[in-house]
Amino acid sequence: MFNDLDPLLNSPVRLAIMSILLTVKHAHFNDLLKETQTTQGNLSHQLKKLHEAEYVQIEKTFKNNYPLTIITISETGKKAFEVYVENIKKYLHLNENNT
Amino acid sequence: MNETILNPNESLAIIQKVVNSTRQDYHIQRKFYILWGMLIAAASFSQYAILNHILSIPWFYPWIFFPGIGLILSIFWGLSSKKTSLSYYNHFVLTMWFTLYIAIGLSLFISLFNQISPFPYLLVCVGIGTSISGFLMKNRLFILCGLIFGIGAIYCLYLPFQQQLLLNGACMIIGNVMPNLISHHV
Repeated sequence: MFNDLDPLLNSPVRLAIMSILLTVKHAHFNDLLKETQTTQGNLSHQLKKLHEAEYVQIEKTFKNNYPLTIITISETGKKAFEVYVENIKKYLHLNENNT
Repeated sequence: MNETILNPNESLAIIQKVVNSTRQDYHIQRKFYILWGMLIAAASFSQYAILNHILSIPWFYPWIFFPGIGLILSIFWGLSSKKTSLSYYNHFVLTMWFTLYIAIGLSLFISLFNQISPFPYLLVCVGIGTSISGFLMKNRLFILCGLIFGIGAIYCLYLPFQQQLLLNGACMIIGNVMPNLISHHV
């Protein structure tokens, strides 16, 4: 039924990540971990998928000798999110007509 | 690996949750607004007390002491904040208030140089910041409070200096401290 929706975004954790990244200049891994309430391993896995699709940019650096991962949404990611939201709107509009 | 497939309603719910979380960024800043509002009000009332011989210390002491406390606490809170990601909302608000603080600083300098009261300019700057914050949060209370500061700034022009101090303190409490204390949910 929801085949038109981008499968990469149509998953709870990845959608949450992308929604968060749209509202921030950049996000740190630990903040994403807290906001998405998922496990470290799952978050890494989902970020890897988004990175492979070039939806996000990941920068690994150090702060006070601790590793710091900074994630930023890419232009491709922004466009994909816009299309995804437009498609959701279309589906909801159909639902409204049906009710 | 099986993944949960979202329906549009669930997707919207997730996006909505994140938007609400961004709005909660405001709550982090609320304590800064309350702190600075109270400190500027305290400095104004203290100077009024000094000018009326209730307190016997140099008139400028409150304007060093209270902002000094504010600066130390702001730096401490800023450094101890666990949230490190910077939202666009916070980025804009921080930049706006930073610019307004420069404007306030310049206004104070110009006012002292020309030996005129700085409070109308101070109230205008704080009013602009409060109103813009209100528009961003879509919160009518803060937009209204910004207008209160504007009216206060104009009313200041018709008052003697000592009463301007009281008006400035009152505006800070009514237009800054109180709305931030009562706005638990925006």
